[in-house]
Parts: sequence; structure tokens; C-alpha cells
Amino acid sequence: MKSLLWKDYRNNRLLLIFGFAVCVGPWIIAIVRYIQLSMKGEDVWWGADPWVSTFSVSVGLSLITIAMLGGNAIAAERADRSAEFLAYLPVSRKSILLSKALIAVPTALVIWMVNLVLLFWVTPCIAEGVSAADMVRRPEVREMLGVLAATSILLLGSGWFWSAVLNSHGLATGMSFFVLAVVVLGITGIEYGLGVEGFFTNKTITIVSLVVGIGGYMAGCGYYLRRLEP
Amino acid sequence: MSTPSSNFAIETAGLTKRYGPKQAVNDLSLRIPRGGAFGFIGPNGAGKSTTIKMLMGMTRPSAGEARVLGFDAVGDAVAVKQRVGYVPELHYIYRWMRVGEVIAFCRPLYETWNDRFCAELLKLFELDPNNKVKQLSKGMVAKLALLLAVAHQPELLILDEPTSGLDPVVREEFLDGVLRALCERERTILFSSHSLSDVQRIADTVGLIFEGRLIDHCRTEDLLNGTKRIRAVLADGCTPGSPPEGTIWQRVNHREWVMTVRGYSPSTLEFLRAKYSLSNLEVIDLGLEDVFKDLIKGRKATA
Repeated sequence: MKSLLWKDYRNNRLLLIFGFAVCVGPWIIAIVRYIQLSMKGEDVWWGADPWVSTFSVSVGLSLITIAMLGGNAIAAERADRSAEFLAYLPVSRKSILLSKALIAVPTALVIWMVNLVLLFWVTPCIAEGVSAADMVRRPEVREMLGVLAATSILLLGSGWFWSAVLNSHGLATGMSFFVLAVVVLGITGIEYGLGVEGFFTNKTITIVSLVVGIGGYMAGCGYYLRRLEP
Repeated sequence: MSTPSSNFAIETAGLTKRYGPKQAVNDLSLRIPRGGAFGFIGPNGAGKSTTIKMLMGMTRPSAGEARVLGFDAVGDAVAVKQRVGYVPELHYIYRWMRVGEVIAFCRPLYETWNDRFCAELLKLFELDPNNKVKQLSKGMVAKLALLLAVAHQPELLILDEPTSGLDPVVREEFLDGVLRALCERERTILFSSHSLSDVQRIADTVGLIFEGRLIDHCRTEDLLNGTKRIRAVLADGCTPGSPPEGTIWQRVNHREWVMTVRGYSPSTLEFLRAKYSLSNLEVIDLGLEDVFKDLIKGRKATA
């Protein structure tokens, strides 16, 4: 398991570096800008809004990383055919999957943890007039957190499924965004077709995304475990 | 490490693989005893690689079963791979890894990995652990694949066209490595190759597969001793008729009648002399390559 984990870490190293840059980059820009304006004595960035926006930009961009983590998981090794080398080594499919999941899922969680810590702990420490409690109390923040978390799960889970099925990691990542578009457009399309715009709430989209994401992940695992070919 | 008791390294019964309407392997029943080297030969697309992939648990049989060292090739795939060394025709070792990293990656996966033997092979094959796999030539990658296949001292070594595309010097070094692995301890080798001179050099027994079916399986020595090419020159006015029993291929060119006979004995010549008026009769010894070509040509002619 240790050598599989090392191999999967090395296989995803560039993606992890990209993910870290995309996750932390917006925060560094925002904090530098805040310090710059504070030093000039400008009080442009009072309140929580700019920090919530920075959070949404960071998580929004990190969705690409999360989708790629899912899409790359299995298909990347099929694309360069190194999966055929792995196939004749004495490792079980379960170990291979577990190792890939131990890289992808914790990375997605770390991206979220970094963002949550920056939003609810670091920001109140450096920005005047901003408190974690204020932000949590805002309904739009809670709603955004729910939608972005569900979208992350959908992209990771559906990317994982397509990665188990397809031979191209690029296509698998693209398909995860396609599934996201189908979910969002499907729900709004149903509303439009029934003439009940606004009937479904963000909560509906969140629940559907969660179901599709978790279902996709489980279906991908099941398909890969049953499949004998690399 | 417990091993199910079986006298056979490989046992297949009715092994079949279908890809849509095409039968890649058709009802293959084969028994290869432990120890010794088995040459698995056949033309392109005959089903050799598909059979090997089924033995390695890398593709599911459509029908029949395969047991490797007593283990079910599909159900006990990990146990099989733990005891088998496999060198494929094309090598897809992680290109971004260094030679040393590939070894460090594979080493913990095998219970029987032998560091001393691995170090010897690294030296023998002149592999630098610091070189990246993508920097290695095709021959060096083949040697690395052989090192990975034998360093855990497998009970069975499966080589699927391992010398394909290698230059003669590297091929020679590779075969030396195989022979060394064979001599290291009692080990079975399944060697599939188009280079029949290599097969003849290594294999004690050969199996010939054609259009997914096993058409011959015997000792290499028996095949070569019992298969001869006969060149008969017919006397004026004499025409060729029924060939001797066991003829697998024949060709007539004017008065010259050339045939390859399986199960050759002096009575074959007596038959020809008795039945035909001959001005000349010659018996030619054949190598494995000629026997193989004539068997295939004969099969194609009768198909």
C-alpha cells in the first residue's frame, strides 16, 4: 500500500501543485491587496463581502482541481498504458482503488479545509470588523457553502466514474463538468418546462449533486472492481 | 507461502475467448508440467497473447478455466501474480520513474523478492538505477522488465514475445538472462516468440496454436526428429499421387515433389519408392522455424 500511495502521489504531483496554487493564490492576492490598502489608509475592504468573494473564487477555481483529481484517478494510467504494468503486479483492485482514493479525497478535503480556515479564522484575525460568527450567520454564505460543497462532491464522484469507464483522463474530467451542466440545466429546464420558475431551491440542486456525486463514486468503484482488464 | 498441490504449472480446460463473433482462443486445453521450458508458438493473431493474458488474470475467459500453479487464474489473480514473473512484448513501466524507483516500487509487492539477485541482475544488465525509464533504449527497458520479472524468484516465468524488436546483441543478453533465471532454481518458463531459433534454443516442449486452437503439443526434440522434409524427383511419365501418411505440407514443381512429413520413419521412404518411380529421393533435416512454417502453410492450404 505504501508503494502504491507513493506512486499515486508522484503521478498526481503536478496536479497537487496546481491545486495548491489555485487554492491559495486568490487568498494571497486578497490579503496583499488588503494590507496595501490598509497601509494607504483606505477603508475600501471593510466588512465580510470581499473575503466571502475571495473564498468563492478560490473554491470555484479549486473545482477544476477536484474534477481533475476524479478524472485522472484511473484513466490517466490507462491513457499512458502504465495501467497494464500495474495489472500484472500482485496488487488487488481494492488496494489500487484505496490508494487512489487516499490521494484524491483527502486532497479535496484539504482544499476545503484551507479555504474554511482562511475564511473563518485567518480573515477575522487580520481584517477589522469581520468576525467568523457574522459570516456564519449570513444565509447567503451558508447557502454558498452548501452548493459549492455539493458541486465538489459531484465533480469528484462523476469524474471518478468516468475515469473508471473511459481511457482518457481529459475526457473524464470534461465529462464531470458535463454532468454538472446536465444537473443544473436539467433542474432549471424542468422548472421552465413546468412553468414553475424558482420552484426548486439551491437545496434541491445540492441534494441532487450529492446523490449524483456519491452515486458516481460508488458506481465507478464497482465498475473498476468488476472489470478484469486494466 | 502455501501452494495448492498441482503437478502442473499451467492447466487449461476448454479455455475460450470471444471478441464479438471472433474466437480469439477456441477450446484450448493445455497442461504444462512444472519445470522445464515450454515454447508457445503460432502466427500473428493465433491467440498466444490472449491466452497469456487469461493466464495472468488480465482478461476474463468467455468459457473454460485456467489454473496457474494450482490457482484459479481469475479468482486467485493476486496469488498467481505473486508467483509468476511476466515479461510482455510492449513495456509500459512508469516512464517518469527512475530504474531504482521502479525496483523500490515493485520490491514491497512481492513476498519473495531477492535483493542480492536483483543487484546481480542490475550489474549483469548494466542498468543504472539513476536513469529514468523514459531515457532507456528499448533493449534496456526489456532487460529492466526481465529483472522485475525474475527478481522475486517466481515459480513460473511467462515471456510474451519478449525479444521482439531487439537487436541481436541485446537479444542474446536477454536470452542469457532468461537461461540464467531458468538455471537459478527449478522453474517453469512459458516462452512465446516469433523468433523460433530462440524458442528452439530454450524450449523443451512446444505448443503450436493456430486460429485459436492448439494444433500440436509435443517435445521439441520429438518434433524435430520426427519431422523431415522429403525431396523426391519423379521419373519421366510419373505423376505425384497420394503423399505418405503424416504429410503436413507438399509442393509439386514439374518433376520435383517436396513434402514435409510429421512422424517420419524409414517406412516413409519405402512407401514412396514402392508407389512411385523416382529418380532421386532426399531427406532434409528441419529447424523449428521450417517445421512451423510448413505446419501453418499446410493448415492454410487445407482450410
